[in-house]
Amino acid sequence: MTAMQAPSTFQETRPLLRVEALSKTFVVGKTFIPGSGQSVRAVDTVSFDVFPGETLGLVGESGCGKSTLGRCLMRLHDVSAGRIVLDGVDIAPLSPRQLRPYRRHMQMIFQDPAASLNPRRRVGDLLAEPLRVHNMASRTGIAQRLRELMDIVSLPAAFLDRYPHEFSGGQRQRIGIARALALEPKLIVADEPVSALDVSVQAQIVNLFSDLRKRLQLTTLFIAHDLSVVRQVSERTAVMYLGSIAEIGPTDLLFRSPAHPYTQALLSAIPVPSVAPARRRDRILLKGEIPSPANPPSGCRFHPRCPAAQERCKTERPTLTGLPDGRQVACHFPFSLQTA
Amino acid sequence: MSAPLLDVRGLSISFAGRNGPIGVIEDLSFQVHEQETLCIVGESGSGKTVALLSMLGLLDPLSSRVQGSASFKGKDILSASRETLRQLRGREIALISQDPMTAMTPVHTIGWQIVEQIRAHTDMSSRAAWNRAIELLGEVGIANPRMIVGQYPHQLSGGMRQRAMIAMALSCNPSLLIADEPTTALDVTVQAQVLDLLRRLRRDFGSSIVLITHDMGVVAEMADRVLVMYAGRIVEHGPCEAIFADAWHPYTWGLLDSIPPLDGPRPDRLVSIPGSPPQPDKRPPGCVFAPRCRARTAICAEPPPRQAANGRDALCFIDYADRQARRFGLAENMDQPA
Repeated sequence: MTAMQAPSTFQETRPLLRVEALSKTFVVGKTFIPGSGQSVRAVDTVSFDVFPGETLGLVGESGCGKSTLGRCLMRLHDVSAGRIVLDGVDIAPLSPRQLRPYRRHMQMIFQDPAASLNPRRRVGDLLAEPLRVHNMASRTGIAQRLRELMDIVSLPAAFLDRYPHEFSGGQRQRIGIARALALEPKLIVADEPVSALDVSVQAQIVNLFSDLRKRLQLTTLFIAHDLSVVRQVSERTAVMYLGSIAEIGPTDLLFRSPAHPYTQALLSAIPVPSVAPARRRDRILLKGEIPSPANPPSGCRFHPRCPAAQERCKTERPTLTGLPDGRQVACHFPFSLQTA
Repeated sequence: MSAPLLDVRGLSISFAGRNGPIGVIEDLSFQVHEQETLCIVGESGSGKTVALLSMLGLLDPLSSRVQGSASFKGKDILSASRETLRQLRGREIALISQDPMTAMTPVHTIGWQIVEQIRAHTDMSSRAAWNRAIELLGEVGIANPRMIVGQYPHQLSGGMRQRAMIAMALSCNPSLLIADEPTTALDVTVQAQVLDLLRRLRRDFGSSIVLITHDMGVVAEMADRVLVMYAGRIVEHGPCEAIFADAWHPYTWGLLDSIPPLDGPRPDRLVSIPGSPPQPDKRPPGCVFAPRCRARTAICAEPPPRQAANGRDALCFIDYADRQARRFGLAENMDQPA
């Protein structure tokens, strides 16, 4: 129908990004005493693919490791284990120097545009810097590219001479997006790009993401905690819980009939802006909060909060397995809350 | 219905600016009735928090000017002495703020802080107050209150801290609970727990709740009545069902339409409100929303009238006959920045 539907052709092409068993462990509380400190597995053997031209949404609550995962993909964190294959090249083991030629193929959009733009430099300089660093264009070429970029994000070219503080939050986020697009990257990781914005402005930026995907065939990993925004922008959605993927599959499928109890609870917890009873889902109130990743529960990470947990969930950790409908879910008893 | 619990009339607030006073709130009037949940919706900078802080006497009198009247249980609170306000705050009117980390002192335990509040307002012994604190923490759904009562705020997670805040707010059985974005900093599953708690409290304690939020989903779930604020004014007010069924003000249309739906077909594009809210010193004359309004006409350069009917009102020129046609007729999407 529209470009929003997940075309099955994605699955047949070669993935642009293939993440294999990626893990990231942080050591906390380490002192000078040898052997002190505790390791925290923020991202725990995560695997997924992102296909060219696709937007993959990544949702989860705070502390689930979604931002850490995004930063690992950008190699802003070193990776503890696993492979990150970007367009055929495993970038996980590369040194910073080796990584340099690949940096321009992957760019990041940050949550807080006010904090990620240098307040002392004009917008034009901010956008031109990546072009200069990567020797992408001559001086006249840069000037032309800057105007193009401003046009892509619907800002007047006259704004190039202004400083970041002169803009509103939505405009600043547009500049952040323009900067990420400057090098025509193959992959964009957007980490909560709209959550710092007011609702009315948020809709503008969400629309901009939809436009960009159609116009530039962007491949994006869209990280957000707001499920309704993720539904709007992504063909496929992955749900993370405590460092691992609980469920991943076509967005429409996942939202219509979530298989993992956590996805079900997450969807049911969102307040629906309507007073019509028909549009309300039966709420599944979860007990407690996300456990600390430093001390994760045994078996299925979700079992202490899961309303459908059984004996097996306490001991045996479920792996991400494919279902016939094309999604993957890490649960021993998928759909067990369907009738609840 | 009996006299309202809180009755605000013609409240205007201005702050001292470099070039004279800057009006932040203009002519705000509303009532909160017994056992009612009133939701105040608006974007950042719409003045919703400032309006409520002024009612608690928490604005700096040197830099702000407050006009109008606000009476709580028949007593004027805007001109009340500091002593009267001190008796009122915490005991009769309690505040739950957005960020419980900054609202609590980091150097005392949760229990100490709750006990302090109880003892400031009642002559309970400290032992009894301590037990009451444990009881309250249990009531707000904390699983092991005996342990939590001796912990410091930083030892708790965000959801637990917000519960502890709510327990503290409830400690003197206030008749009015002001919750300023109580769930904005929380995850959805925890937000669901906290909203559930607030609903239960209203039922069990019979408090009235003023809930400030920007999330129309939270409004739909919690509110009896809704105030929509934009640029320091109430642009629409009415019962919750009525506003969701048939909003009158174009700003409310925008707020409702800009939320991506969670079910049904996905729209190709979201309906967004172009531009961003004006700074308080740069508000346009006439209708404040006009520069961003999809349905504006030449007449919007004049101050709009407040149209009222059936217990609701809106600050807009568009009248009953035109409303539907204007809302759905202008599908043209202007989401380019102004």
